Order: sequence, then structure tokens, then C-alpha cells
Amino acid sequence: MRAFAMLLAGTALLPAPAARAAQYTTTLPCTPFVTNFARSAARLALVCQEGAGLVGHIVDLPSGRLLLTTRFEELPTQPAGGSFLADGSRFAVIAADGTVALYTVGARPRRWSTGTPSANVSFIAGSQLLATGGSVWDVRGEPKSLATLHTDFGGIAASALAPQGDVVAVAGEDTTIRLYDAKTFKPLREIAGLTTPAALAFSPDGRQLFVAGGMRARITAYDAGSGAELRSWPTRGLPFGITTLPDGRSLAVSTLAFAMPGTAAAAPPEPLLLDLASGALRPLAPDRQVDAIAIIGGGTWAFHVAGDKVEAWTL
Amino acid sequence: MKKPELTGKTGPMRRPALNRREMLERCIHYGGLLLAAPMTVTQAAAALTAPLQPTPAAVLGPAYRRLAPERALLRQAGDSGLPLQIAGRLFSQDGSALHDAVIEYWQADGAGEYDMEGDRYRTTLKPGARARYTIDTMMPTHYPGRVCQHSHYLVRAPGHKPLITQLYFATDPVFEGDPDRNYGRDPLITSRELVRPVRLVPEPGSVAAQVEFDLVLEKL
Repeated sequence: MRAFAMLLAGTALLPAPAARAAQYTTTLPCTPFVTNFARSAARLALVCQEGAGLVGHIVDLPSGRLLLTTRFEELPTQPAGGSFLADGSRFAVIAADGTVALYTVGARPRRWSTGTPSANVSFIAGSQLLATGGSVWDVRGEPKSLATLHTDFGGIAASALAPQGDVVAVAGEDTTIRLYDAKTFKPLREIAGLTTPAALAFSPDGRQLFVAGGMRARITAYDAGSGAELRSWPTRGLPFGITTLPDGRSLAVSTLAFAMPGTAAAAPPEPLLLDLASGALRPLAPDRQVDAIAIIGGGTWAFHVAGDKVEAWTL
Repeated sequence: MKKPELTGKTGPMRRPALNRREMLERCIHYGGLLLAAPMTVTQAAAALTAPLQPTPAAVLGPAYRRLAPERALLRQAGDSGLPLQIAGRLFSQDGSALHDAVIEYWQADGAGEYDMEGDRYRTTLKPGARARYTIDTMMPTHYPGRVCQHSHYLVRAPGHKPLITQLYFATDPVFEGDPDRNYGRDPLITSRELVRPVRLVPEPGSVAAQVEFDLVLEKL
């Protein structure tokens, strides 16, 4: 389930700047081993072990109400990866054979095969487009392939939409990042890489593209116009998520623990803040554990999961 | 002895007649079949000319890294674990040997970690004229979050779909000696065929594992 956990860990891990009381605490229906917070709503998708199988839920956090429950019957095997829509209304999972199941609050699940074995499925930020299996799918109605994007091999690993809505960046499992016209999916340029990126994010002005290296402990900034590498920062943990903060001046980077080759001890997750103006990447002094943030109604909320409880408070 | 029929009654030949070497190669590939119930020569020939099933695909995983150096020996003195030799042949689905394939192989080290800044336990292989590869490595270890021991393959050849797959080992304790029944314990195992028998062979003062893993690529 490591891969599943990694792929669901899309939201930023941030320690709160100062200890403060939780504004509310929600009891979950089970103790999750995978959580994925919506980025613009107080909703949580979680996966729990239930006997030999898995059960997934979408929970409204303020009320604790269960909005959706599934045992992933639509998939031939247990899910290998998943993605949560920013508004918390939809949850997509993929089985290793490339079968995708899409769960929507208040609607029947949809299931289709991409034909490409993959553990990667992701909503393109700011859209109802799902990137998986080498294609971009419009999932507003019956899933419809909008474009098949070229990769030398494998499928799509990560994607991002520029804030201006004109450019989509797609990272292939073949390690190449390709930028496309967001309306026509006409290729614009390519950025060659060495490893498979785990997450992408544009700067608020759309001029820079930030790449979380995933299994490669590195954040790299590229000029989105030329594809030139601008700067690279090593990280202690494995960077698997990038979130643009509402101040427009910084990015939050989530990381996972990992052990350097040849060492026994794993570096702990180290939530990071990247200041776009200065280029400084620094850890935030943790005086309280924060597992995720969400931008809700212009405010920034922090969440912490402890067992079957979720604490929430504003930053 | 009746000459094997390599031509269908109504259709064109599926492929040119096999030379002695190719026939031998295919006999090796179909070894289990040829050792099974008695067959007529025609049946045997039909089996030899039937399209091969492409090797099942599997997920690439997050630890792929381009540009691994070309070498067959991955283990180094002092590496912990069970020495492992993986060998196999490369075929197109029509049964012809793939002489121009390129294999990229990677696996976790003895601590269950992938080397993302270097090339430990990574290689690029060009099997060449014999269309056969050998990798001398260590048995991959388990690591948290992934159920089974495994190694990764990316195989490319002109005119064929890239093959991304994973190799699993029937001796993996997760299978409890019954991979037929238990291979589904790892949700990333897409096919029982990817779980291969392991042969233990004595080495001076030690023992090593050997695995045969042939690779069949689908034509474009």
C-alpha cells in the first residue's frame, strides 16, 4: 500500500505556526491507513482495512457525516492509487490493470478501463479532467477520452493546470514533462527528466513549474516558457505533494519519510515552505503536527489525523 | 518422419520455416508443453508456430531512473541476502528472437531501498545476437508498504510495444508455498504468470537462487 499512500498524499503537510485549540474534532468511521484531504473543502477521503479487503469513505468533516462508502467492488483488485477532486465531491481510484473507478457523492459509481496498467490517477488541479493511463478524460458525464498524450512508455504520473488556464503540464512515467495547450492539447514543449515526478505545480503567475521529485528527494523549478531548469533544492524526505498557498507567494511541499541508501534510519517527513520571491526552501518549525491543509473560502485550514479523530483549525 | 506442417491449409504461412537453432530455442521456450502429453507432429508444429502470449504488463512504480549503466553483475562483495541469477530470452509474439531489444532492470537493495541518486541495482542490458540476458544480483527484499519481493523491467524493441512488467518469486514467504492461490495478496501482481519458480543451487559455502524469466513483446 506504500504506493497507494504516496499517491494519495497529495495535500501538503504543514506544521501549524503556533499551537492552538482545534476548532472542531471529527470522529471517523474507522482508523484510516490512507487519507486524502480535499484542497478546497472540509472533506476527507479515507481508506481503511476491513477484514481482508478495503473500504473507502468520503466524510464531511465539520459534521462527521458519511457522504459515500465503497468497498471498491468496481475494481478487479484492490486499488493501487487514487485521487480526490479539490471540492471533495469525487474520488477516483485505479487498479493495477488500469481499471478506473470514479465515485461521486450522490451518484452511481462509474468504471472503465484505460487499457494501461498503472498506479497513477490524478485530477488535473482546477478542472474536472482526470489524467490516467496515458490519456486525459473528461469525467463530467460518461468518461470520455479527450486526448491521448504521448509517452515513450507508461502512463501519466502527475499533472497541473496553470492558474491562467492556458497550459497543462503532464509528467509521464517515462520521466518527461510535457506542456500542452489546455484547450487543444497541442504539444508546446518538453522537459526531460531522470526520474518520474510525483507532483507538479505552477507558480501563481504561471511562469515557473515546480516539480516534486517523488522517490528522488528533490524539488526543481523550471521556466515554463523555455523548459530551462532554474533551480533545484534537495529535501530530506521524499517530496510527493505541492500546494500553492493563497498568499500567492509561497508553495507548501509535503514529504514522506525515507531512508537514504546505506542507512537504517529514515528521515522523518519534513513539511516545507518554498518562498517564491527569495527562492528559500525551509522547514516550518513544528510545534504541532499538521497532516494537511485546505484553502476553504479564502481561509487556510489545517488538519491533523490521530487514530480515528481529525482535528481542524484555521491558520 | 513426416515433415512438420508449417503452412495452414487456407492461409499463408504464419512464419518462415524454423532453422535448427530457432527450433531449439522454441523447444526451450515451450519446454513444459513438449514434455506434456503425447502430441502428433502436426500438433507440435502448430504449437511451435502459434503466437506467443505477450508477457503480462505491470505498473512501472515510482522508482524508475533513466540511464542506468550497461552491466550484468549488480551484486557487490559484502551485499547481504541471497545471491540471485535471473536469465531469460526475448521473443516477439510471433516467436522470433528479439536481437535488438533493450532491457532496463531495477530493484530495491538489501535494505528495501531504491537508489535514486545512483545506479545500485540498476542496469541496462542489450541481449544482442543471442537474444538472451543474464543478471547476477541479490534477491530483492521486502519493504514496508509493498507486499511481495519483486524486481522491475522495462523492455523496448523496434516495432514492438514497450513492455513494463515486474518479476515475482514463488519462494516469497507471502505466498506460503502456494502462489497459485495466494498471488493476489499483492494487489500489484497483475498475473500469476509473473510469479516464477526459483531454483536453489549450491555454491561454494553458500547457496544461490536461479530464475528463468522469458520476455515476450507485443508487436505494434
